[in-house]
Amino acid sequence: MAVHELTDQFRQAQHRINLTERRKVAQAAHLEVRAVLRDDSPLRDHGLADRLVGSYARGVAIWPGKDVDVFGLLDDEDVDTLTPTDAYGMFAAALKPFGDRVTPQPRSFKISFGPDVALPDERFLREVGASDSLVEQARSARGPSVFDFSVDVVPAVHWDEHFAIPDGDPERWSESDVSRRWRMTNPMRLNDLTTTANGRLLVASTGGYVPTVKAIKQMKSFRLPDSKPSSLYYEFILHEGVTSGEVTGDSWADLTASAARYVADRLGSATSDPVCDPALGQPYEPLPSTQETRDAQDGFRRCADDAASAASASSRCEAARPWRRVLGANGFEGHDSVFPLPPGCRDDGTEIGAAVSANPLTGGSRARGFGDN
Amino acid sequence: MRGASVTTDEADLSPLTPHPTELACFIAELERRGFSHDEHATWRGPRPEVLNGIADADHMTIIIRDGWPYRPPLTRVPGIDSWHADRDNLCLWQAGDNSRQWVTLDQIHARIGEWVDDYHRGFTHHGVGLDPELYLDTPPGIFGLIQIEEILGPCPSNGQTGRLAFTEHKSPVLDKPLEHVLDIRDGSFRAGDRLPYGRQDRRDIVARWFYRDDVSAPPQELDDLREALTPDQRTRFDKDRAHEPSLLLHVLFWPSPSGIVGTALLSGEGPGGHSRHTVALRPKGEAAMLLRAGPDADLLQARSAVIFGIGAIGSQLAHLLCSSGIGSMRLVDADVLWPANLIRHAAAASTPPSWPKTDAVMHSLQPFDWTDIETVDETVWAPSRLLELIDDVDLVVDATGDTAFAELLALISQTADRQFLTTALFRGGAVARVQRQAKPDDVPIAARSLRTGYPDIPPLDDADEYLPTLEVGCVAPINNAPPTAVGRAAALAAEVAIDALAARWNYPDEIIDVIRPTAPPFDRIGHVRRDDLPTVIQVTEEAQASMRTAAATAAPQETGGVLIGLDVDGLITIERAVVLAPGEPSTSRYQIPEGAVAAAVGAAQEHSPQLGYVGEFHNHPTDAGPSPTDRAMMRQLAHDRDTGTPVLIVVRPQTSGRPDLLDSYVATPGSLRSTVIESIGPLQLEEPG
Repeated sequence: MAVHELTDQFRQAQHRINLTERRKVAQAAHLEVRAVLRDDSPLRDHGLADRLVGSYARGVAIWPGKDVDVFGLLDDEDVDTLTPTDAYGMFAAALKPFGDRVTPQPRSFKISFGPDVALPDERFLREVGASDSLVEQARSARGPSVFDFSVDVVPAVHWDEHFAIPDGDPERWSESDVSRRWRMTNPMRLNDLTTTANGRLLVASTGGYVPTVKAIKQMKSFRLPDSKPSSLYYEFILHEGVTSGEVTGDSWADLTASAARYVADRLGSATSDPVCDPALGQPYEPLPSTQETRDAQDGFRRCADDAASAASASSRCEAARPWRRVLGANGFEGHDSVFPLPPGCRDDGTEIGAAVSANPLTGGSRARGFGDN
Repeated sequence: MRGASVTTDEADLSPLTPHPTELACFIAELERRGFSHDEHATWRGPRPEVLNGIADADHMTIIIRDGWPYRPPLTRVPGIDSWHADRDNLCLWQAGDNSRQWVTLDQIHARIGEWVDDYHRGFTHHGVGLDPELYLDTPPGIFGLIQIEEILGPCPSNGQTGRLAFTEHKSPVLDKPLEHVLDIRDGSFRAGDRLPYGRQDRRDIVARWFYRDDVSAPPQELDDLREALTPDQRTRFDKDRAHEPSLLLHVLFWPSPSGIVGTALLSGEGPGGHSRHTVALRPKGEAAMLLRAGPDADLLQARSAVIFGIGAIGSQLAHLLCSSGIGSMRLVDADVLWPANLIRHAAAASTPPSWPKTDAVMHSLQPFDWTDIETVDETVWAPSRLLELIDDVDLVVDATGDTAFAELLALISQTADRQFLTTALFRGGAVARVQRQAKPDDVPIAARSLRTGYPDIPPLDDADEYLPTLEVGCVAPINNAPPTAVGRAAALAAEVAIDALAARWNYPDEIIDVIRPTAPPFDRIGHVRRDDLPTVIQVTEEAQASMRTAAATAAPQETGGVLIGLDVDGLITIERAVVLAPGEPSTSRYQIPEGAVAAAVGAAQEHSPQLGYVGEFHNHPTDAGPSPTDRAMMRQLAHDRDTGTPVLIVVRPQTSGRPDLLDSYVATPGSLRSTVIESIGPLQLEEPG
């Protein structure tokens, strides 16, 4: 049990990790892509039923936001009725209206959005309930909620009770073995599992799983930027810890510390006991290398150690200091730390003294002139 | 050439001196006053009358030596009747005298006059008699290592006599006896002793000492030594000589102003086949070595320390503390030495590979046997074990270079009420730091920050801070500090340690020593002073975010506003940054209309009457500091009564996704001084009414 739970600071930290209005921009971008896809009759003929998946769909995307994943499900097709080559070709043709904003990937397509490229049209922003302020930001291409991101569209078909997306290596797409042409996935089931876990793990009557996934993703993003495995791997570890009952906590401080420790410990056994995708019940692929696992464990062990020291800190100022190290920074709206300092605290963990003197200076009425750099 | 005159025109004096013109003047003066060139660099002329009755001859010679005038000439007066002369040479100037009172004949005469005065009063000044062999008529060819206090005991009595034994010194390094160095000890030769100079029968060797407490002048020849003895001693002396032993050593000890000294003569065939030798006595043993250990040696004998980290700095520090006289040391390190380590380590260069660092240092300190050394070859992090290792010592020293370990050890030492200091090098050896946590009012190391006058020392990039090495994995990177920096850090730490052990407290609780200039505030060689440190201002996180958000929203145009806050704990504290839209949008200027600042301050005071104006902020479209216009504006504001010493913060965009830099300054009428921002949480302020 943490001596100082710092509940207000955790709530502010969760806010700074959240996408806030950027989520609506991403949803509007999905609708804009959807509109283009649904204009395409060949895709409609194959039963297009696109879905928002990935971290945006599960509500675990974190600031500053990056890829928006759209699952281009052709509902009338399965792995035996359509080849990856045909599916990929249909989407390539359908996305042509986006012109050079489309970047083909090995099995998907990225459509770029951003203040210097294009932002979602106002009608899609209005459709997702964007505020006037957000619409204005998009119109002027200026403001904290306009950002560079991409919508990643991946073709998908049915595979038994799951789904399939093309294998990442296009050279396999013509092979006879279905498991080499297609890769099994089930993002919708993962959405459901996330919702279930979030309902089971409560902190003060609030779902605790999703905020904790985001906290873990923020730790990974800050401590292990651009490293493999991806943040989805850590999400799987956390899901495992929550469903097994090993990640617990009645406060955000205790829950976050428990999660960091579980991830650090689980990484220690991941080489011999692979981490599984809970939607498929199969090991996460590609398996991280020994060095990648070791680096990740080192990073999360430090987080867990800091979190433990925060729990035993004798003052809230001292407790805030390690939490600021754990959650690091993400550039959210000009803040250089995700975890805010509690009132009356300094960055070095000390408390501001009581020797406060009123300031009588008015600043005067003189006009100011700066510049001419 | 005897008696020939040499003029400056004829002489090339440059081999003697870098100042041939001045030397030529001196020679010309000698010649004017009756001196003539005798032989190479030697001038012979009349001696001063003050030597009447002391010297037989009516002349003296002045021998100008290489290095004149940095080195005094020799003044030789034949037949001088004084023991304080090196044979005919008057002992006028001690070695190391840099007075240069010898560049005119008058100065030499004046000094001779002082010498004559001393002669009549008796030479008693300190230093006289330290090397009594100099006064003997036979130049010393042999040295004797001796512990006088061991031979004479604490209270020698006048007329006391005793036996000695001696043999050639056998150096462990050379692994063979040194025939010109004798080990002399108290007592008789014993069966089985290695005898000197190949002698086979110990009965054929006589060695004896005599003590007299009233020797007025060092003996200059054998007869003087005999004359100085009591009748009983003289009988013994004569019997020894009559016995005609193969080797006969006689030593006369007497008290001089500098302590007990001795004159020793060896008769019988020794090195070089000579039959008579003056033996120059040289002290050995603990007491003699501790004489050179500094003024704290006696005090340190009763003190103890534990040093964690016996690497480059730790090993040098161990040597310094030991040679300064510390009574006991515990050395803690689990690492071993490899050949490459030895370049900065105090262990002997011949240390075998893979030797524990602790053992290697203990081995190299063996000659200093007044220090009890215990080695602990462990890596210790467990608080319980750390407590055990510091429990019985006066001073705990961290020299691991591991900041995290230093913090832990500081905490444990504080808990156990032990004096603590840590030393390390930073920025590739450009900066050394010694932190002390020992005196009751020393600020605990964990509580130190720039705000309280203790700056962080940021590291260099890894490529500059560390050596490229084949050692990969989890081992600590190897610091790039040169041996000179290591020595300086160790010496500084030793000074602070001794200062603390002696409870003198002459040093402050933290010293940062700049060895090579680097980034401010470490850009001036020497100790960093409080005045070198930037001022700290406190800024709430919200105020910082407001400035960055305003800049990000406006970029590439400029915007800005007013900084509002108060004084907290004596520090300028910015509570909020109020954005004031520019008079007109611009990418190169930011202007605030008249009255806007005071209005914003007034609005803030509606939240709290404690708030007032602190300064200004604005953004730049590029990563650039204050412009000349900015500086001029701030200087104007610094003159106004309503703005005090205003703060300027320039928001500078950064690349690679880093947050915008808040570049801050405090303005005075004469300067714009850089400051450091410390982030703080929300302030709890009085509300109106």
